[in-house]
Amino acid sequence: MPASNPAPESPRLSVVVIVYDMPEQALNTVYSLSTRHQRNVSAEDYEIIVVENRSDHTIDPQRLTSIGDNIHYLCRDENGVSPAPAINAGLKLCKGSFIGLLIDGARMVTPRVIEYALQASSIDPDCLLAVPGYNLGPELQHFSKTHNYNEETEKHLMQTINWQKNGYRLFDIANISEANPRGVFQPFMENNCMFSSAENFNRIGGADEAFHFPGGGGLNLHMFRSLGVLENTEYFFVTPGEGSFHQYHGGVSTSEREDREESFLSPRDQLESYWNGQFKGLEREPFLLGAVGSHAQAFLHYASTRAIKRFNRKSKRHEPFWPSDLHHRRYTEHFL
Amino acid sequence: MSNSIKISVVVIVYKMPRQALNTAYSLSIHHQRNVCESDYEIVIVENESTDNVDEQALLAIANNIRYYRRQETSASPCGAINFGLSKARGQSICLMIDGARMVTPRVIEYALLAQQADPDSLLAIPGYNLGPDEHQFHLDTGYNEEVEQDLLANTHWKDNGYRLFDIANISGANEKGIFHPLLECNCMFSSAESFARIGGANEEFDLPGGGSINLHMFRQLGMLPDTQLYFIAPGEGSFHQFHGGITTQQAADREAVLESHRRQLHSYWEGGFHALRREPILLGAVNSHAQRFMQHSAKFGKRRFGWITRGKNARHPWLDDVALFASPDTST
Repeated sequence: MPASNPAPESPRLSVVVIVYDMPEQALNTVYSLSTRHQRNVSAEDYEIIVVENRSDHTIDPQRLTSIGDNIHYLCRDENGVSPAPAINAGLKLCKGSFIGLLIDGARMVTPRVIEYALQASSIDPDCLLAVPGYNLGPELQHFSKTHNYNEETEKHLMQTINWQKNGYRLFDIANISEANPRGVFQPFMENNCMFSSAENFNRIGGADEAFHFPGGGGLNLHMFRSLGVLENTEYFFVTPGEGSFHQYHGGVSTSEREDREESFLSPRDQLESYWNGQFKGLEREPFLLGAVGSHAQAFLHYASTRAIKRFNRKSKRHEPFWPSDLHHRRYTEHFL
Repeated sequence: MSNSIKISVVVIVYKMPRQALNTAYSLSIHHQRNVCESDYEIVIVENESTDNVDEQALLAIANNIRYYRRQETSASPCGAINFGLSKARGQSICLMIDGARMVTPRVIEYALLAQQADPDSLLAIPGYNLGPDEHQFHLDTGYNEEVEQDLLANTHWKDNGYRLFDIANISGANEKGIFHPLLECNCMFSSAESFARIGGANEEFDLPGGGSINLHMFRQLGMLPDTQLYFIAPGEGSFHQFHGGITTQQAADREAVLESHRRQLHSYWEGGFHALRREPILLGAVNSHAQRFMQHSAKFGKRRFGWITRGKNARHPWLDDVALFASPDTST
């Protein structure tokens, strides 16, 4: 049953969060997106649409909607194992002309994500904005069993930083996501906190429900790249000082399972089938947007150091820096 | 005021005819990317001297350049700045107090984006010096106009203005990069209204070169309550060309000159003048040429944040945000 707060009349931004079997993590995520945690914005500016596929562990709707006045909750029955229909259900509910998609409800965000999304949409309504991904904990979560990392240790870790008071401290207990292991000046393989116009989400046809694998398989990668290569997407923004932080949960591709390699194979083939066997990260020049505070500074330094190496390597080989930009009219740097 | 012009770039020129032509070219549509000529205008104001810019050559560069030569008895550019501001028709204004500064190719584009984000935002383009070192050490380093002309010619900067980064050093005013408070900015954008709010250039700054008028105006703009957003373009730059500037040549009395500037500047700010201690919002791409300066900034930013946010003397890294907005929502 949908539970809902009185909706803001016309929020500029709708953020869709997809949840399955992760009630505690989802509550953290929604809190991180709410005005209690987001700075320099008001509840009228945006709405948070939480779509959950029913499981034995659903969110307590009252706890969820008591977080803020701009939160809507839809719990739906789903026979399949893919989040694609849930995403489309969420997209349908969006009132904003600009949309954020968090396909994995276990990702908490830093305090100025909403502010910068609104800024980005003011600058270019059809832009794509990517908030870089990180993982909570000392190591990539696939290998967490090896390092005795689990929900309990993570809970304790999060308590030590009192993140509700200052979400930037999440950077202090995180490691860089394997999707962008070399930082923000490299092609993005995927993104779990992406924003673009409602029209652009329409242009790519929402979430293709043919991605039927658990967790959607390569759906997120597919949607991110599809948005990024749209001709309408002139600007590709990246927030170097913000992040989305993955909390440990039993997700399909973020927990250590013995069959991980195997279960990943066919989704990859499916993804490749959409891209002529040549799927790759989005090779567009990132346009930085946002402050970089004390907690994120080390990641920027790392990204810059890796960027210099990449530019040097590409120059030596006479390879273009950002091949995905070649389809766009706007000038970016292709060669040294 | 015509609303179709979004930005007026006011460039003040005095005794730098060759450099000013480079500056105007760098601002023109031949060099700026992703913008239309009709989006902006370039207003060049020159105080007459024995060494004026070639007006014909200047106007031939582009259709959106206007040139005013005026008589001035004062050695300060303040009168020229105010004259230029009165001629500017754009909704936003860029002030370049020193016409010897060339800019990189996306400065106008980013200024338009900053304006879209918030018309009253302040956008600072970081400063660099062409050549191996700061220009006041030119005698020590054997640097002069001829050397610089060779350097510029060899980089073919007109093909790609970002190559200016390859032949530049970071400005001494902001030598630790963009995560330290900027002492000044020689290519700053804000709304025409904000320039009016600060009263334009205070003509009491009557020392040669205006003394510290530039530092004063930059801080004034940055401390306006209307200036909610303070942007810095980490991948763009304004590059100082060598010329006989007041504070950029090596002279025995340079320290005494600077001291007189400092005295005047401090007298206007209760508790003394400070660099602008506001948190910058980064805006723009950082390409291969600019990346080493990004790395430099992040390195010194990390160090600064390390000592400023820890220990018993820990404090907010951006005190002017605290002064302006009771509980500043910065990223700290």
